[in-house]
Amino acid sequence: MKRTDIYIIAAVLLLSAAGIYAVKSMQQDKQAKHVIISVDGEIHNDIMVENGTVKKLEVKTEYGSNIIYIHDGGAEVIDADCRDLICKETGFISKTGQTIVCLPHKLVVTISAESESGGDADAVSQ
Amino acid sequence: MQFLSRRPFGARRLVFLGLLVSQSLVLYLVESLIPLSFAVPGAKLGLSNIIGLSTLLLFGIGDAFLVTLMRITISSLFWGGMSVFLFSICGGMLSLFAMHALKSAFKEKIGIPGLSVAGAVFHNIGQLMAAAVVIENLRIIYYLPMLLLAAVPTGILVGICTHFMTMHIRKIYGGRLSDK
Repeated sequence: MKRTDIYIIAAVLLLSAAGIYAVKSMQQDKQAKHVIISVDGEIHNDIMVENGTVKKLEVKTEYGSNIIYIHDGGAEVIDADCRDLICKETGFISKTGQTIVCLPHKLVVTISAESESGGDADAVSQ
Repeated sequence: MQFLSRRPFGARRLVFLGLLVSQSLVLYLVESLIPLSFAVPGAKLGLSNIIGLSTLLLFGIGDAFLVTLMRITISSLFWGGMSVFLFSICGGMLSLFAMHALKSAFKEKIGIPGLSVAGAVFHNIGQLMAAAVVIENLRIIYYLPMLLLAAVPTGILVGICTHFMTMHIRKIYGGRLSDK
């Protein structure tokens, strides 16, 4: 262990702490939010979620299928047929900005404060 | 491809590089048996980098490039596929060249743990960039801070293993490593 090593490790720790703080400060707990499911960069579902919303949906694409369970004002992937199941391990998300990624299926689930369908915010939100 | 050495492949060097490739494949398999993603989704130990870094230190960037390329090609042929190859090659090559750049910049002033932590960090950055392109969503960058945090302990562990590996190989083979 040399001095440069310690500098590198300290810099990495500092960067990751700053990054974790930045990501955390972007996350907010809102009453009404949208669960946005996108596949391959295209929005697949945009679901308006309030605290009482309970919904189970299966997203089936050419890459595979993920079962997404929406409850308690958030969402989680409860099952998938991908090889690593990292999406399942990520667990439950409910704050805006939080993300679940299923890389093999090119699927991204995010929580957003507003609708993200199309360019303008109020296009589709029913 | 200036860094690829023009030295002919002598039998000793060829056999040794082959051994290194097979060792890194075994480490890749062992690593997949150790779950680490309960703490950080997607985190891995990065044991294959023991071989990548050892090859870099013992033989230089040209041979390290060849060993890493072979390891990634063979492992994605066996267990992955095209998308795994893409992620691995982005992470692996960025990590290798970052370690090489740091080693050339700091020479004797940088130790093995520093190189290995930097390698782990750039491996994560490379993979996340490839992933962001594949899923066409930049949000995946949110995973980076947690992965960087995980890169420190795993990088130090890999650094310690590399230290012993290079020490013993040098002790056993001494000056006979290259076909000079």
